[in-house]
Amino acid sequence: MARKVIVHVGAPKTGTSFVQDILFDSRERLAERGTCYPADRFDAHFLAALDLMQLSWGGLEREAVGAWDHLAAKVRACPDTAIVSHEILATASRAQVARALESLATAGTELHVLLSARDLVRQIPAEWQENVKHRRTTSYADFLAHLQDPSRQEGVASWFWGVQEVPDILDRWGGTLPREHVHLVTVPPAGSPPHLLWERFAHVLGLDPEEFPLDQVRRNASLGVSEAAVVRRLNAEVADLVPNHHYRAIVREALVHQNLSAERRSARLSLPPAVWEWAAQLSRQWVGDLALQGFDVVGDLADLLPAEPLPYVDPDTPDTAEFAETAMRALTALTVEAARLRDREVELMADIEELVEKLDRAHSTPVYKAKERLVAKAGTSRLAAGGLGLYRRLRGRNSRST
Amino acid sequence: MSPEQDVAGAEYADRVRAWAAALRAGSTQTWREFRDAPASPGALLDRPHEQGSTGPTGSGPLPGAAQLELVRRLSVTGADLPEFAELADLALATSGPGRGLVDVPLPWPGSAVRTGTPPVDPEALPPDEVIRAATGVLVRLLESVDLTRTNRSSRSWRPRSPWRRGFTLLGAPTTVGLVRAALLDAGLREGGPRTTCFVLGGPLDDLMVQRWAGRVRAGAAMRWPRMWRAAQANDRVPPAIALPMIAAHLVAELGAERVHVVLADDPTATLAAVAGVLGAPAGEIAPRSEVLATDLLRRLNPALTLAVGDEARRRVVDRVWPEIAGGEEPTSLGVPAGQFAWAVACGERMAEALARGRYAVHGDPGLVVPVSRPGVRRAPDPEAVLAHGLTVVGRAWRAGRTQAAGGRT
Repeated sequence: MARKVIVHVGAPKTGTSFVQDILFDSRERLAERGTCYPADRFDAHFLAALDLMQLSWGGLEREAVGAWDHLAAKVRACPDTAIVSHEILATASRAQVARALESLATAGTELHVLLSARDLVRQIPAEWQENVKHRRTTSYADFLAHLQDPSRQEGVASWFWGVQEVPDILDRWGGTLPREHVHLVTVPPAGSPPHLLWERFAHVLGLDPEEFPLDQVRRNASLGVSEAAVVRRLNAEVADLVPNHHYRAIVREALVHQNLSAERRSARLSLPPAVWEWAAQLSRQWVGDLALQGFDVVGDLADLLPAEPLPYVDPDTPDTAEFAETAMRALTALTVEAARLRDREVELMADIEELVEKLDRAHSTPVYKAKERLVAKAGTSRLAAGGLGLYRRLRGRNSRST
Repeated sequence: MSPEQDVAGAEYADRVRAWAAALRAGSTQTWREFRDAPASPGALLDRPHEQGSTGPTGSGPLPGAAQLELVRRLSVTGADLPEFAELADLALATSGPGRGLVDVPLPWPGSAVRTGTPPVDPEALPPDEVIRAATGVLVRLLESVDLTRTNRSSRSWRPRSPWRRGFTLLGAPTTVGLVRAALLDAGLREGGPRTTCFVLGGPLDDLMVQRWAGRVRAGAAMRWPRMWRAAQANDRVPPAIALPMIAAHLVAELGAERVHVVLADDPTATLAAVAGVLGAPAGEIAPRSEVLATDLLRRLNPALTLAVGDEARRRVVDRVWPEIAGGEEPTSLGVPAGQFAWAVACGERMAEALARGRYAVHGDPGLVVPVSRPGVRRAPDPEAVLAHGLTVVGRAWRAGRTQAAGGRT
């Protein structure tokens, strides 16, 4: 029976993958210290979140059947502290939150909710970039307009606010918990040392940050203006040609993660001045509201206020030369990937030829050839078809091989 | 939150729970009518928390606008549903699956809440949001279907006619199902060594509707316009309805004399042509519309798969869906505007290829080419899908009650 359960519910683009990597890679070390991170695979909590919220995710949801109940049972069986972490949990409805918290706890369990948050001015372009990496084609201008539309009914606005509106997420997830059990970790400003964010997480998770090395942890690199513009244009071209599983492997992984975001050469995505002003005002309102709530703030609420605006470069109308240069990088990367896959195909073809030869040798017996003649004859002769049917019944299984 | 906000929040919560309780009892009042009506002092419905319930009408999370509007609409359309209060409880407590507005609050005068989804009058909600709530309920109802029961075939037994040639049907999937059932009912034999093959077709837009329905029944969540965009991007129609390709393949395998292409724009005419070739009597087949049911099912598929798994979803859909989702008003669906020119060109290519084929063609190959039909929608109407969805929820609820009582659905 877990005595303490910490549910890290987001938000996306706040170092959540970084924390999840540390927790997943350190499961044994955590267990020695009485902390469970119950996961058979690195995306176990993601699948559980899909299941909890009945979310489809490009076909991955087929792997998520029963995943939440499976995770909750493991959490309940943990002897001391258990941690659950996935950023899409942020958008759960109150009914889904109630179900989640009820399923994770047994009598006497102390429930904690952890939300990590970063200033809105950095989150907005980061979310658009994430959308581009998930094959969307919405222009940056439309994306920004949808976010500012009060109805939240356009584009991905309902999703964005569901996972990024810090006060509302804390209200949905923490509304029934004691305030001191609701933890808000703020992401330090740009340029802060990388271990600072981990120290803040570790504080809430009850871990010694020094014990967990950060060297091997992957960091979500970001796309620049022209890289995002090229991928968005590519999305439009392949939208109806490439199924999701191929898109994930070829575009998101091979092109974006391994190439374009590994070496950003164009300007950083930012906000146009008017949108910056709107986002800054909203951030100030949130910080003011949060200061009155009495949640456990780890870091500084001032981290959620934007720094000075970056120079704005519009990704909807990128510099032509930069766009062309980035497109050439993309073409090069995908050519290399195609060559790698071609090599693999040649290897597999050789394997198949070898197997076919073995099969041919096995099929060259007189008995097998007689059977083949009977099957062929059965297509045109009732007598042969009857004989074949009788043979199959006598043999006792329904095979069409012979 | 200030004390004033606390008070306003408590009043709001009480009023919402009171409306939920009224809807649960069969009221069809809208939120605006209920909110603006003077509360009757002391009425239990106005103090639902005193009922001791922990459901959505008692304590616990407040139901959102979509859930409340769903119950109200169910109450309007299904006043005679058995144990309606239990269905209402289920609907009020069930979040809509997937992406959409999160916990939509209701408009309330003086509300000081500045974050969260903005309030929406339930009547003004986009129909997609209420459909989402309805699919959540459908998942809960369908996941409890008893799959151990076997459906008895409704087909009456008839002696087979062994002197007649057997038949094999390919092409338009829904028409194939309807004609096949009619031929079997007439005592004809399917398949066999001297089978005659029929490739059934009609206007390309109807073929695509049938293929879309088939894909969705098999588990896809694909929207109607996406079917067309994919076809256009690949410059070919889905192989299952590529009539010339199917016919050419059959000719290569069996010879031209055993292959017939039948083109008609309704199943009765198709049956007449097939029966004519086989020397069998032909009857009437009622045309079947499945546009709304298909659009509803494609929304339901991901959540139902998550709830029960792919295999069980398939069995639930095979066993229960035709019964609860059938019988919709005839609805035509046209080619989306962006693909119309491509569809015409593609249809013309198909018609030419059919006319050139070495097989018998019954009907005009030109029928395959889609024509512009003024007034025909180019995508399912969400309001119509919602109306049909309410019917489906009602039927699924009745079926579940019957099952719970030990009867057959």
